[in-house]
Amino acid sequence: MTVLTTSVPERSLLLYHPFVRVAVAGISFAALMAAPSFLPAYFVEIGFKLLLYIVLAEAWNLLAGYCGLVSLGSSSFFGLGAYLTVGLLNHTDSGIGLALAASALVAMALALVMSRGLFRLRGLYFTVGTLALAEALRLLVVNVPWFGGASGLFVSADLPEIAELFRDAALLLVVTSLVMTLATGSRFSVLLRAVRDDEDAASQVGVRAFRVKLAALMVASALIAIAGGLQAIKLGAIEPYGSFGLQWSVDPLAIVIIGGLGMRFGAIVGAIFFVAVGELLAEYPELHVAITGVILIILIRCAPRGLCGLLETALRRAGLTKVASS
Amino acid sequence: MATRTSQAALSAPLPVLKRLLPVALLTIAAAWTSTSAKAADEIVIGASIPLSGPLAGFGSFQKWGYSRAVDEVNKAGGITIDGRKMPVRLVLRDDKTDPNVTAANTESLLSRDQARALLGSCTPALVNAGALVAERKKIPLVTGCNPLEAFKSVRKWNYAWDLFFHEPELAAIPFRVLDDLKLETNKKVAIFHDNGPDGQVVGGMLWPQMAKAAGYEVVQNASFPVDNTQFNSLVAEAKAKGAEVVLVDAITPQAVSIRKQIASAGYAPKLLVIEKGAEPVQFAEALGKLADGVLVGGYWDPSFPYPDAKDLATAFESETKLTFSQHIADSYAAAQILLDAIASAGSLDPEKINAAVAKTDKTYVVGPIKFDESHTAKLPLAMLQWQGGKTSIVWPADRATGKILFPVP
Repeated sequence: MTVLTTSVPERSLLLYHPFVRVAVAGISFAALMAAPSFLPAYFVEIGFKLLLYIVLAEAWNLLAGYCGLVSLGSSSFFGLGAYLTVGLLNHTDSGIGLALAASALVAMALALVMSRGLFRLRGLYFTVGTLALAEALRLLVVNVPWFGGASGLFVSADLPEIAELFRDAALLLVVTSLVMTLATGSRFSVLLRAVRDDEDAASQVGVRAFRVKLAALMVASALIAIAGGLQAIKLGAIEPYGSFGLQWSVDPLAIVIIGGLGMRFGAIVGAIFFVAVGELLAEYPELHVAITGVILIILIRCAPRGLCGLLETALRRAGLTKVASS
Repeated sequence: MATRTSQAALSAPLPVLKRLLPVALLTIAAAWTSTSAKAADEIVIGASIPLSGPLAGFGSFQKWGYSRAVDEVNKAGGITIDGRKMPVRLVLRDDKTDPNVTAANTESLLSRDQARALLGSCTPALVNAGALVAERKKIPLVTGCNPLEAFKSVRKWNYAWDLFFHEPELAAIPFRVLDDLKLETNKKVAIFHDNGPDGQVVGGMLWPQMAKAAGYEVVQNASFPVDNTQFNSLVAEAKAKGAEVVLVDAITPQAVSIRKQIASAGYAPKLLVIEKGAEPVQFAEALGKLADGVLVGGYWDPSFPYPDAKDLATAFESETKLTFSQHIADSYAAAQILLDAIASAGSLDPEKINAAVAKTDKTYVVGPIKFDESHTAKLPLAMLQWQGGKTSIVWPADRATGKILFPVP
């Protein structure tokens, strides 16, 4: 039996009112765009990193959390975006916006081309397939002389200030949030979850599973490629081991698991936690990897639904949210 | 079904979260403000170095070298800035052998820790990533551990300075050793090199040119990805072509694999040079007796006639109970150069410190250092050979501490 708690309905209604949501989103966006003007440089840099991680984690959450496509191939699209953006900036007159948009389109095209092969694989086999794609792309870049081999490439254009990059990353986050809101709050979200929960059953009732997965993969790939392009511009230099590094696949996974797999705010909460822990432990370079690992183990053991799951339970107990129980 | 009253609801875990959130925010803010406050009372120098990942071996030596130079200055009372003695604080961050992390760390060192000057990481990819940030922020960075051509190829530097070996000199050494020591071979050379920045320059370009100039025939020149692990086919080809001189440029894990695969193939070249990867003691530890006879170019040894050279190695070995590495010397010297420049500037103004680094003209533990117009200082080279788990200098004759094992045992 599904019921709604009604002890504090006014507060629930206020929080879920569309007008309030739009207002909160608008104020948050304005605050983000204004942030570099008044925040110290350190927070702007950490903010940029945070925004990038949120985008990567949102994209991974769309794939794995909502569509059941557990990918370890984020680094392939991240590196692709980085190399394409730097290549376009170095060899054409395209500005940053155009270079990033082109990178997103190429990443979508790659996702389209690879989908036939990747979607023949399911479960763990799909995960290994995406990992192989990232590795193949890295080796291609290492061995083809156009890409500068292991030495990589340097951005020859003048690099923008971190404040400008922060605002670009904030815009990317807004686009990502809109995409995620559409993908998780519309009919499409039902299709995604149907494919995630039982692809065969979904197909039996008329869901075109291939198209649903392809749409999720293309959208996620585009977002990840733009993030890769922004990171490349910030660094001013790229090389295959850093740009196609496994950490760009593993970090979003860890962030989403910490925040809450398949939960709307899992990526954001997880990214804040991940970046904050990284910064707080930066003073202990010998220990931080071990401490981060211990924190992850404790979190996964004690909060299998992530921090958002903990928070949701707390809010439910407080009667501040609609709850489904049977 | 159970309904809750507002009071009961608000006594559930939410208040805990409510209380924790401000505490967490205050902690982060306090950490940041205390860092800023500290920075005003001390001279902060930052370094992002590889303390984990494939290059962690190098990073541990760098950490020791940088820390020793800073500790010595602090023991002497610090550095006088605007008439006031100030202690030096070295902030180290682990870049996990990832250039992305090096860049992020370097930015944090400047913005969060308020570092006034920087020391570099190790290998071209890592050093260049940090140096590009230093260049953008107009903060001086002094580094070793980055071959000079790889450093110069990035851009014209204004704030980054590098003291290390020059690749053309390193590439010439095997042929000079063969000539000077009159070592007889069939003059057939096989070259294996990774496609990293220095591998491409030394193995792909310089060795073939120098072999030809010295009258040797290059029967094989094979390039491989930096993280390759299978070399059997390369080794088999070199063996089949009868190369008696094998020149390798690879990082340590690959260098160890290559040496093992040469041995397992029953291939016995007379001369085996492994640049880069055969330098750290981990190479000899991983190979045991197989390391004996392997040659590697070296830019430092405690026997070199420079101030404190012997003491530095002794101090390292007594403190850590490990065998010294050349990297303790270039990192120690890099830190000393930077500290001397700060003292000479008498100011924490990055422009003044940078101008003082440019004027460096002194003999340090690695030899005389004077930067040229491309911001580089060449370290003189020798040829080292692994013999019984330790390196001996076998060339040039005036610096030799041992006799060359030839052919490779």
